[in-house]
Amino acid sequence: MDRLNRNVAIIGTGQTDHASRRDDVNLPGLVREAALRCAQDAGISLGEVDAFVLGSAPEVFEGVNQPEQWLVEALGGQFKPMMRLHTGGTVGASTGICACFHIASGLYDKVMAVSYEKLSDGVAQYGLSLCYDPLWGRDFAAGAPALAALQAREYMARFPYITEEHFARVAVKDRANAMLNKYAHVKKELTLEEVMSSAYVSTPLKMHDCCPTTDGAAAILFSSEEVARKKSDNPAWVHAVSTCAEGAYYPGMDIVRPRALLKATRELYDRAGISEPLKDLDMAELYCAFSPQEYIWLEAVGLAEEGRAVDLIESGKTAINGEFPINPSGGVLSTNPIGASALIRQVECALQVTGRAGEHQVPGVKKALAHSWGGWLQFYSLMIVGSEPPAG
Amino acid sequence: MKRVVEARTLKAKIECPYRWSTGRAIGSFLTELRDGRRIVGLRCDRCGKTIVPPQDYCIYCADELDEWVEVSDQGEVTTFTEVKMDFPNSPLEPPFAYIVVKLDGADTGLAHLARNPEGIVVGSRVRAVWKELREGSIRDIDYFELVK
Ligand SMILES: [Zn+2]
Repeated sequence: MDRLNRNVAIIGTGQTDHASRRDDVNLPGLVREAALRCAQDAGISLGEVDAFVLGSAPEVFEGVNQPEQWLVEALGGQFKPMMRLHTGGTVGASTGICACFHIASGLYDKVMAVSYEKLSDGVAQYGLSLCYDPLWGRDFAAGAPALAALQAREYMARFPYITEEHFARVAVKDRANAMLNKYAHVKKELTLEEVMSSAYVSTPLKMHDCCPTTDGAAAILFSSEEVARKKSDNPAWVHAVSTCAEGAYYPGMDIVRPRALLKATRELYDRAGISEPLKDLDMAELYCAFSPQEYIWLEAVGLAEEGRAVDLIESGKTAINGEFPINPSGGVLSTNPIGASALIRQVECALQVTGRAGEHQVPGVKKALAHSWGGWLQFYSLMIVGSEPPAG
Repeated sequence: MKRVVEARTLKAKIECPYRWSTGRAIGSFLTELRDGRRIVGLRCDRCGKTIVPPQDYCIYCADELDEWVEVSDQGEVTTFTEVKMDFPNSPLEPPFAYIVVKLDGADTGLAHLARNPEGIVVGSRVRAVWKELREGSIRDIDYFELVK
């Protein structure tokens, strides 16, 4: 497959209010909040949606197997196609991409991607500790911070001029951006001092280098071009998508420069006609659940040379008022309902290219990149969203 | 009747016993740890890669693998992290280190533990410290320690 078979537009987006604990709603209530806001944004009712694609992370997070069976009614899915998928942390992006495929196939004209996590209902780190091979891996990677720490340590070993303070500045930037985003969960600015003096979780990661756990959901209404022209005066357009998976612990695995992400990136830029990403794109929402990942992902998606993301970041180019803002929303470091986090990257790109991001709007964004990772650093999903339909 | 609009939290706990079948490759691997204090992997003829812990198939060419090789219980640390905070299902009390070690003779990284993280850097040489009482588990290797 090269291009999507027909143009796919984004005519509505929705997010819940994100918080450490949303005790005012149950899981279906939380999901419904995002879906209703999305439908309202698109100017349609939930009843008018042709099909739903749902995504969430491991069921042990909420302690309910087959949550999709609760969500039929909550979403208005009665007598409609509905499927749920899961690909680790990228699940939100996979949900959006699957909905795109529904539209591109020509079978449906209005498809809602909905993803969510109500992490406070369970114990997130307990759930994550069960994501490893029970026969030989489970004792050696409890939780997510340790995995990201192994990746960060390898990056630092490869580029010894990178210090923990470099990472801390990313946390400071993202948390400052979150102050401008009305949907961001953690709204508390950080100083470099505060990040550097926060306790180590798993070296070299400190508490403030790590994402929060969030109750939240997000939704996107994807549509055909025909519906978009009729229903929306300001749609966003999907220019290209790509996904790629790789094994865990295979010979030649490189968690700093994952081969699956390099391949997905090549395919994405090829499909979207991007030759110089730093020039051809205007900003990116990268799935940085831990501050070192801004360095690692910038390089892997070709926005910086190997070991040189530091130039981009230190010169202020990735700041919200810089030449190539990264995570103007405050990113995953400020808001992390795991199953929804990757879909929120797509939501944010759609808001930015349509000039509707509000206080954290970056001026003049025409093309934006949404990225996510999942599993044992082994699932990758990418999307380019544009203000105009793709050329040709 | 007065309308109830109070939100509530219901508490519960899920406990469920499991018994996982190991399959051929991991079964043999765990048996060798227990009976021989040996670390074994499977080698792909076509790709020339030795996979530890072994899998029944090669990730590159998807061939079935059946050429067993013994690898060293020493190797080089490719990355590590010193865990400072306690997590659910943590194997040890922090501080301890998770390490990824490329054993001599293997082409894959093996995730394991270093009980004493002091002095470990990327590139350190480490060796397995075996348990006396072994039961056919990856933890029959108690932990890895620096080769002085
Ligand atoms: Zn092979």
